[in-house]
Amino acid sequence: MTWQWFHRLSSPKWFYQISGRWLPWIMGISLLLFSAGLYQGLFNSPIDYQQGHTVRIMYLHVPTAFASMMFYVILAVAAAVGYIWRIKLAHMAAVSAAPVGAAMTFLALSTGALWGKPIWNTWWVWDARLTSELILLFLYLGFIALHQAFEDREVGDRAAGVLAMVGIVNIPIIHFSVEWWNTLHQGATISKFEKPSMDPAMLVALLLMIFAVLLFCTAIMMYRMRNEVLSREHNKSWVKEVVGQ
Amino acid sequence: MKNENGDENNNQQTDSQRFVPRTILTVTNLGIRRSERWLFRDLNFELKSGEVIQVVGENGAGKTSLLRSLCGLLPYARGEAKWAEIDESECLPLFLGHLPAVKPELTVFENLKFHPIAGEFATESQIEAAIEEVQLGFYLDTQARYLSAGQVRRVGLARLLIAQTPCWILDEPFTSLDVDGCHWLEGKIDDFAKNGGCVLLTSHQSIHLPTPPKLLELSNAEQFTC
Amino acid sequence: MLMQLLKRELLRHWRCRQDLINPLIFFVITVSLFPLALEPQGQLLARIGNGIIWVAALLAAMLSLESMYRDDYLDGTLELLLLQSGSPYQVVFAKIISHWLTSGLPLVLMSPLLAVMMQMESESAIALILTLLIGTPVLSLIGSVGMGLTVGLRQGGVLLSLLVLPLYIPILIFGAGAVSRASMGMDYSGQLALMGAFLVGSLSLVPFASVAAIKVSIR
Repeated sequence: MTWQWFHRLSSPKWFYQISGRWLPWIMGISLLLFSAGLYQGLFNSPIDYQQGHTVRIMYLHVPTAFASMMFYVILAVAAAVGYIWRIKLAHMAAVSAAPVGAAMTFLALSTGALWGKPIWNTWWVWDARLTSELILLFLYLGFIALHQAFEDREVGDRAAGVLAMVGIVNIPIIHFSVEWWNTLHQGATISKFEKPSMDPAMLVALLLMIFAVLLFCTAIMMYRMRNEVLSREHNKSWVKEVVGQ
Repeated sequence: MKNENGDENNNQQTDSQRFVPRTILTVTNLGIRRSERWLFRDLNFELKSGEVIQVVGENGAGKTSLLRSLCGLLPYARGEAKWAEIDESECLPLFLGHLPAVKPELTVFENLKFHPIAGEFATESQIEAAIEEVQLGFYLDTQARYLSAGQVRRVGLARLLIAQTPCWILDEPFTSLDVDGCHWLEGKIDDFAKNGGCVLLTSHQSIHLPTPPKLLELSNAEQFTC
Repeated sequence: MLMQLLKRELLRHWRCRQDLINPLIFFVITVSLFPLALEPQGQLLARIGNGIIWVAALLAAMLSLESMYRDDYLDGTLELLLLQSGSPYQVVFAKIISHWLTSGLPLVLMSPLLAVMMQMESESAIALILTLLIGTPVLSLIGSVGMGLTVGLRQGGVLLSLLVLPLYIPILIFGAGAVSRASMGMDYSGQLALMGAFLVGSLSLVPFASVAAIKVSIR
């Protein structure tokens, strides 16, 4: 009973149909949240007493950083499911999540650099969080490069899946060691998030933006998955019907 | 000549026609896919002791893929390939791929000595006898990098003589062998089958045995869609 | 069986000694480039020597990974070993142990010489040797996964560094960190203990990942 459900969920055709129905909603809600969050963040929230208007970069930096980590978890879980139960759709999800996560990591890094310039007066600081983000970007790029290196996509899926599982075990270790390294070398730096309390208006804006970015990423990932489904199943009859229309 | 056999197997193997015929491998509805393309989808055959089966087909028909997936190197997409239970005295089916798997920096003797099947089953004198038989006795302590391609192939095939297994799986074993070598290998295959072994092999040339090998035809004419 | 496989590996490496020496020479040359690029002052070198030696060790260990599976893959030995040695884990273990013995251990033995070149105090030199002794096996272990994944690829070498170097970061941080603590006269047993934990952790997890990686690669 439960397995039937599992298999239906893992059928590419079923995914293609259901995602086609959901996508406009996800994209629409995400755009609504974006406009609400941006309005709240840019016009309706107070400025920071030290940082001034610069603090508004936070509304892009924090959500993208959050999404970058969350999408690595999604990627690794999908890759593990695909590897263990040999589910093609899960591999497609992992492969589609990787570029989205890498893009978010890159955005988090660049917004971090933009934020660092006025605050620390330098584009780059070897802060624990930024360094971890940088390493995360390397992990994403490794996953993408490994997957592309194989001519046979299914072999690439499994190889990259092994890498993702190794990566997810290592991420906490890497994060912990970077934290330790950071306290050893620059213990005096005040972390930018350790504020005693956050203005409720700022918190609302931040939460709105986090949900907006997550939904947006999910939508992009689903678009990519739909492409993946079509290109991998291209010689199946239902795909020919869909494309032929 | 079959002095490499262990005691347990002696009765079974020297008593040429009276080995107990058994099914070593049963393949049902086997299908293999490579790069999202089916090589074949419904393969059914049985491999019994005493049989020699030659897999034939065009280039790219999936001959090598079939052998590799029967050995467990390549997962198959559907169906089943079931090996009979194998006695502890014997080792697993011996697979020799189209690469000779001979290390150039090791000597001929070491190449056989450190082969996993030899480590537990063969003594040094058995290994030396095997090397004599493939006519490389002179090169016993020569590093394999100084040998010709045909000689390297012979080193690889010498493993057939020291393995105690009910089944050989050979992928293009005749590659780069000279005429004598081919005759010798055909003779070995025939002996092995007569003594109750079974052989599954691919080859582009026809094999001359007293009892001609069964042919298993793979055709890739059809492009399957699901 | 494990001993048999190990003997085979070591014999193979002994027959191609030159391939083993090259990463070592690379190690020494890389380290000696830094004083040339910077100023050869004792103070400066002693302060950054730990990092330089550790990074060079990381790169040298990575260079030597090629010898682990590549040759065996190319001539078909790897699939035979996996099929016929009973357990693929033994094969992987034999490979990792022999890789460490032939590339990690020489790095450790070479490190006192480099410590002298970098004007390090004896305290930090001892710490360097200890951390390398614990750290290089971890490099071999993690490297075996990366090598297993890229063994079948033509352009595997560059990709290998992209896959493996990020995973080497914790070992680098704690290895170099312990040495720099030693140079300041502080206790570094905590760092050693953590590196030991990495070693035990990777010893128990890496074989599974390595075997999975190789199985994917040899299809």
